[in-house]
Amino acid sequence: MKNAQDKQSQPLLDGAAAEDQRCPINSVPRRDVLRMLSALAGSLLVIECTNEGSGEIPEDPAGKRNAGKRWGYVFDVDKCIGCCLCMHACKTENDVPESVYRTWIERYRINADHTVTVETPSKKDFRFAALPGDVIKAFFVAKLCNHCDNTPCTQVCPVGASYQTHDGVVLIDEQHCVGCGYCVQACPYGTRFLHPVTKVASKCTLCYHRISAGKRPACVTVCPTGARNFGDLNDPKSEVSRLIKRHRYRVLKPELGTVPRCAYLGLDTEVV
Amino acid sequence: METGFVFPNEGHPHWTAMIVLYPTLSGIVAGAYIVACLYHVFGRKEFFPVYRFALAATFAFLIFAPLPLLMHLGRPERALNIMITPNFTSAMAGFGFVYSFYLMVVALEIWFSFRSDFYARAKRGGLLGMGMRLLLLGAKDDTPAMREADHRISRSLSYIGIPTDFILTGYVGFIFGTIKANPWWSTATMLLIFFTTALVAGAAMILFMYYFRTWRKGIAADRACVDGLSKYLTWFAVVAIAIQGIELLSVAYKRTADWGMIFQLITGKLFYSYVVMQFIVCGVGALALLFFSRRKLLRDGSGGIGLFIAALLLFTQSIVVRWNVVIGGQLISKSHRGFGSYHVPLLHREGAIPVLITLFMPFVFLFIFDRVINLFALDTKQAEEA
Ligand code: SF4
Ligand code: SF4
Repeated sequence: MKNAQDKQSQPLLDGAAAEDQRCPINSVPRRDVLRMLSALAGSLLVIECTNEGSGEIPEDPAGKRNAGKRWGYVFDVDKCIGCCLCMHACKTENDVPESVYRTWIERYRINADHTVTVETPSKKDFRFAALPGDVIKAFFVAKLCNHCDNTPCTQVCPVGASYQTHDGVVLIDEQHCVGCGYCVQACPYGTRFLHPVTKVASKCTLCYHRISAGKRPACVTVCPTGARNFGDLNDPKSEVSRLIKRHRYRVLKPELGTVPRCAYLGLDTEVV
Repeated sequence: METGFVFPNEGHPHWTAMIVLYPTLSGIVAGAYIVACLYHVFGRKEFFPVYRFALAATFAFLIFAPLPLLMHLGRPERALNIMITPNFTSAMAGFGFVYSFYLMVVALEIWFSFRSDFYARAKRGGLLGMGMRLLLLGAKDDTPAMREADHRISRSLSYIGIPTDFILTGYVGFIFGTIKANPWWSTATMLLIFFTTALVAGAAMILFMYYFRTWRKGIAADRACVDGLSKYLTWFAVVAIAIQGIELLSVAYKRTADWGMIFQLITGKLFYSYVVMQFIVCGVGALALLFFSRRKLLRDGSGGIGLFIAALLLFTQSIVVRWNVVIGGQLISKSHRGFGSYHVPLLHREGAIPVLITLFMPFVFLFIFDRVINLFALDTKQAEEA
């Protein structure tokens, strides 16, 4: 069968622009230095994060916590260096089994023949393979639950185990989920999975246990370049509000009407 | 083997062969019930020899229909949550209620239709007789007036049963058709595809089971009945296959962004099951065989083997359609850049052997039911009595 990548080829930048785009990511020594530094900083932060606890969502019987907030997430494509510390942090913080992911990094590679190759890092050590030489452009994109406003996943859940909190985070009641997988099918972004141990649906919670305690999600905390940003969209002074006010941004698959609350700055059209 | 880029949580389908089986069983329910109603409600006397079997088959497949769902659930012990805390925005939430209601209607219809048989069996005594007495719920007589009343009541129940049957079948198609995340599923015709193939599955199953039963008994099949069944089966199959073709044509003609992936799917991973099996062998091939065998039947009463094989193929087609929808749709990665893979394990909870056992359970149930009370009216005396 013809490779899917060939079908997706897109018209690309001209040579000069392509050269510019290649610089930050293809200059190996600079990237390695960054990686080392970020790994150092990140591991300290991972330690800080994991000291938080089990990732369990604290009770909020009155439903008053974070009243008036509307959490949002902004990912800056130009800032991501693909170190994947966020993936590490998420796995550790939320005790995510090896075979599934609450967040992951994709590397988009626009090849010399204008085909697009998308990769995820190795499952073992979360490192990307070295880029081949004939690449026009490459960039990294983080994926996670978009905590959509118009959520198909909560709509289809037959028992109401998938729900949206008043501050706009989409969560799953693990004690109530029957593990039918309907929400996994309904999410257009592939961010949900059936947990191999608990056998119920699972996904990114924006580290609800952390944000409820006034902290940032683990992935945001460890990101050494500030590519991952999180905050209150209702607060005009928050970093996320500032970013989406000042920059052009895109959301993923807007045509599906899910109204994602995860915005991407500098996102190419190849990304779905 | 995965090809292209697949999101990391998508390696293999979450909805497996068990979920293929669920709409298969509920489809057979719908088709069998309609055949029963053709005699019972619409007065098509030629279906008398298979009416009782069709009604019993409706019940048999209906009681086993939720089994694949239960086997599939990650937490089956919480299955009742669907009825205790239903989320009414979910297409699946209504299932428990519609299903229970329909089961009740069909169970009552069976009781009123077979009460005098239970009575006759109870009179013979023995352990089975005791069981039958229990089933009679205290009814101690069997007069022509009572039989007449039974008939009237069960017929009235059909008027409730038919729309419920349509809702139960249509809603399965609705579940798939409304998942906008999946381009292979979210089409307007999905509901119709499930519905029409359900009619085919039920009618085909009754036709081949009737042949099977008459051959085992060594008696000739009732020509009018076979003629009627094969006629309806032809119509159902023509409409079902036409709708499947129209769906493919409309997706191909629109050439939306998803067409590239769909084209690769049907010419690649799904080629054998979709093009060869669904359209050629079990689609047009089965239809041609049905058509020619029917001509032979009308000409000189022969063509039984051809009709039997055509019915088996059309029955298989309805399973293949569901396979291609359920599994095929999940092979397309939501990244739109690659395809996942699926191999049915043999012994896993949702593997081939449990699937086959679950598929055959209603047939075993029917076999036992048939031993207790004769489900087929195989001789003319019975037909005349009717
Ligand atoms: S990204 Fe998927 S799981 Fe998250 S809210 Fe949107 S539809 Fe639901
Ligand atoms: S898997 Fe759980 S959360 Fe998802 S739809 Fe089913 S019951 Fe709801």
